[in-house]
Amino acid sequence: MSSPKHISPPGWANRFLEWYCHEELLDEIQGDLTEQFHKNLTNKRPGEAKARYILDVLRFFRPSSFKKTQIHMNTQVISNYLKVAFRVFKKEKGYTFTNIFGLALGITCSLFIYLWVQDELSYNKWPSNLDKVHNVLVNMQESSGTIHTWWTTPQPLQPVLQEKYPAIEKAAMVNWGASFITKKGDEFLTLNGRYGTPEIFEVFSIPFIQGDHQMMFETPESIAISETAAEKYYGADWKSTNLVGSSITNKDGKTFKLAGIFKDIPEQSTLDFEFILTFDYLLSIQPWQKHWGNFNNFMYVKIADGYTTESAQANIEDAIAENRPDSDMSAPLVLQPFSEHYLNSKFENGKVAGGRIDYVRMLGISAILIILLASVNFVNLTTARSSKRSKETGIRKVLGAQRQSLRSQYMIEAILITLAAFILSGIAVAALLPTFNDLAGKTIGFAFFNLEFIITCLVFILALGMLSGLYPAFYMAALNPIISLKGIIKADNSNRIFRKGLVIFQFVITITMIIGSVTIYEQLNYVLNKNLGLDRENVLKTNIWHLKESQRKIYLSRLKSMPGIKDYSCVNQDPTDIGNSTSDPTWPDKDPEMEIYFHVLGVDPRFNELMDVEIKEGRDFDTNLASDSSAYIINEVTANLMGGSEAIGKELSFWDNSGRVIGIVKNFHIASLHTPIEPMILRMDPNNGLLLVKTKPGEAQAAIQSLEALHQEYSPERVFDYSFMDVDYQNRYKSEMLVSKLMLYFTIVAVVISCLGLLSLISFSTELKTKEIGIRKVLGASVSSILGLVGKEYIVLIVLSFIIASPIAIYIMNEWLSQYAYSISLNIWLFVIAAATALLITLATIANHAIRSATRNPVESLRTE
Amino acid sequence: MNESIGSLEETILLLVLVMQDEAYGVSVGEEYQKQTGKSISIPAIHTVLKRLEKKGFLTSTMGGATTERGGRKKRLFEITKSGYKIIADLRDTRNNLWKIAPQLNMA
Repeated sequence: MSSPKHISPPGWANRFLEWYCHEELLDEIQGDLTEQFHKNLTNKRPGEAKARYILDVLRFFRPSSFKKTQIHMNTQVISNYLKVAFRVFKKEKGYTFTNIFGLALGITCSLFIYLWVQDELSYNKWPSNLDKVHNVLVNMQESSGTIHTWWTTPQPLQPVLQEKYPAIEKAAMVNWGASFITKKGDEFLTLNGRYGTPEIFEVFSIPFIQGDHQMMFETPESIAISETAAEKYYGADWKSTNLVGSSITNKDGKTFKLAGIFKDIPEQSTLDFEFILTFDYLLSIQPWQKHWGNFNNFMYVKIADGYTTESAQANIEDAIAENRPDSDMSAPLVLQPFSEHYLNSKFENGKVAGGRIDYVRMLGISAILIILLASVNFVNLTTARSSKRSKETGIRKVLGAQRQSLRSQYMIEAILITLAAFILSGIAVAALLPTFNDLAGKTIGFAFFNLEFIITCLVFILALGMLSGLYPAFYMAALNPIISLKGIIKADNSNRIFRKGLVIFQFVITITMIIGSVTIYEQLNYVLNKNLGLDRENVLKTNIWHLKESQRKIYLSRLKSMPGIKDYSCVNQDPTDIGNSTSDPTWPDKDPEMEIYFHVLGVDPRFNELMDVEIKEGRDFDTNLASDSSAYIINEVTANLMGGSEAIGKELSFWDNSGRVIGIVKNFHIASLHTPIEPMILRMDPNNGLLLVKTKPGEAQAAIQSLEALHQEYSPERVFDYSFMDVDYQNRYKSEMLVSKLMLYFTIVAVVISCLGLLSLISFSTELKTKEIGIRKVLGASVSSILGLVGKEYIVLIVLSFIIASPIAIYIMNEWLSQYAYSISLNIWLFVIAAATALLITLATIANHAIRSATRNPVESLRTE
Repeated sequence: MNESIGSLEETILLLVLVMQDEAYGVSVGEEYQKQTGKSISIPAIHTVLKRLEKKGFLTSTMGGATTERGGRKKRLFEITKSGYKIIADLRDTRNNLWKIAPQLNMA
């Protein structure tokens, strides 16, 4: 390997070296390290050479190479500081515990969030040519001006993009997903993969272990499988033989030639597959896919060298309009870098409008806030305690201690506490990681625990320790020795105002978080319990696409009489999550300028009754009327477009069929509550393969068994797969539920931390007031008036915090709620709950101390002199 | 002069003697690896060289800078009289001991 001259040592390490190193030594040290670095480059990987450089810079970080102006403390002084620090910790156990525990709690939370955010950010980062890989999306404009961004494109676009547009080096198309069922011995083996053009391996630079994708260009009946799939099918020692060219037969007897075995796609990816069957084969069985009007499949492209995302997009933007022969519809293409696809999947008006990134930000900010809360506690406690240690500081000063060295002393104590908290939270993270993985649906391992992580933590400990030690250190070092020696423990005013400010700051954050998590909880509750306009309870879903028509009839008639089954209906997709839409429908008096997308749901005559969909006008489908097979039922939104109740009887035509509208159903939600209800048409379709089964109440188990028994009889080769419609519905709000849960935990942690701070403060201030309370009692003050004296101050602080927090919370939560088309409104109750919670917690926290000091025998407290 | 030296110090001192000119951190480290087969880090070498200089067995001058070193100068080391004397003494003591050591067949 020749020495690559352009690689230089890591900049930050170099700056660090220059920062600490004595000028006279810098020449030899930096020179030697640089020279060694370049030597290492000739026989080691650049990463290793850099690691060595960093390690050496850290090794040189020792007193003998420090600048003279640096902290020049000899070891004796430091060991004295440490000794005093440990004595203080031992003496003030409660104070130390509060500090360490509060910090550890905050750090643990933030560490978890850090792990979660890291994991989220690592999605879709696996392709080796990451900056070149892009998703192709399409912006569809309605006449109303609304733009829908579709993730799917028509098939003929793929060769066109690849051949005609210089910005595109390779274009690949894959479908939504497919399963490949084959027999291994007596057992059936199901692989999950996709139909795709062979270019997919070139776009993503997926390496092959055996063979390659070339065969797939020539032979439509060929397949490429992943190493995991190979292991499943050929057994663990598949690597020992060359399998390319061998044949794999699916359960229907169709044989495919193995083109190659590719490396597994990493788990953290929006695109994954265990196998690729050729798209040509899919086209031979579904020739209708070859149509410019069918936006069915995903397109991935690799842009050519010299193009950026923007310039490539400018190049291909009008590809559909320029090439589609049968229509001049404009549907501009949009390029989105593959790496951004996972976190930024929401589009508004054709532009990226967030997605999961919103939650990443939200939790990231919470993590920072929690750390802040914990450090505020620390500052607060240390300053409050400062008067207790004023004598020590005074003596040190009289004996000639410089401010600088006093500051270092307090800094060292702060760093020690931070270090202890970090160790504690490290243990907590290790212990709770499995629980967290469960909660967040992640598989985070201990791989994050590497050198980089440890260095980050160390830097963080130093930074956090210094930050929270800063104010106490300066404050203490600045105390007047005469006053502090006298032992006057009257904390001065600025100090008290500062502390109160910090308490307000803490409670502003805490109350905002309480309001936030209550709002999120309420909204989620609203979403999950909202009446969708159809009854999704007790509905099982299972696929029967694979049954032949004759089989299906017998299957369904038998199903009806089986235990646990109340009724059934066949549809073409989940009615609470309708994916496809079409602008095709027309009717006689339709405004020709109108360009609107209609959702079409294929149903059978039993659907409306099964799902309890209310017929508003007209009538339901009737099995006995043959003419109903071409009739349509529309929802209210569609009816409004077609002239209200006059829509009934109108002739509606789309997809080369026409029929009459016979009824209008009340709107039901056909997509997530993020979007408003859109126009929908119900059409009869005899070939529907999604079976909806309504179970008798409380007999879901029996119904599942019935379905399974039938499944075993009709298609034993397939895995029996079913789901509950309401569970599926809930799962669509998974990220919201996760955030809601995490926010709840965070809020609890924030409350605990703030209360810890409050608790220590009150114990301190009642201690200061011991004598005052004693005198008041002697003079005849009642217990309640003393309670008021102690508590009033804190109640005022909480009320003040609440007043500040409310507008902040209103602003943030309105922003959050605005992403839902259907949401709760922020009402006064949310705030009452939050305020009451905060007040109650405060009272509970301070009550014990306040009561104890109020009921104390004044003789005892006055004797303390 | 009452200073004593350890075995790593002795080896490095010998290396500086052998290399005559061009003895500085990196080159001594390389020579050390070549002669003993063990690797040593730059910071470790610096520590030893510095200690030897402090004890008066080495003197140093600043030498030329190269681009490889990012334009930084080298600190070139040279053995002093007392440095030469101490390793020579050590060698003599050892040789004398070897002369009277019994011949064992342990190799």
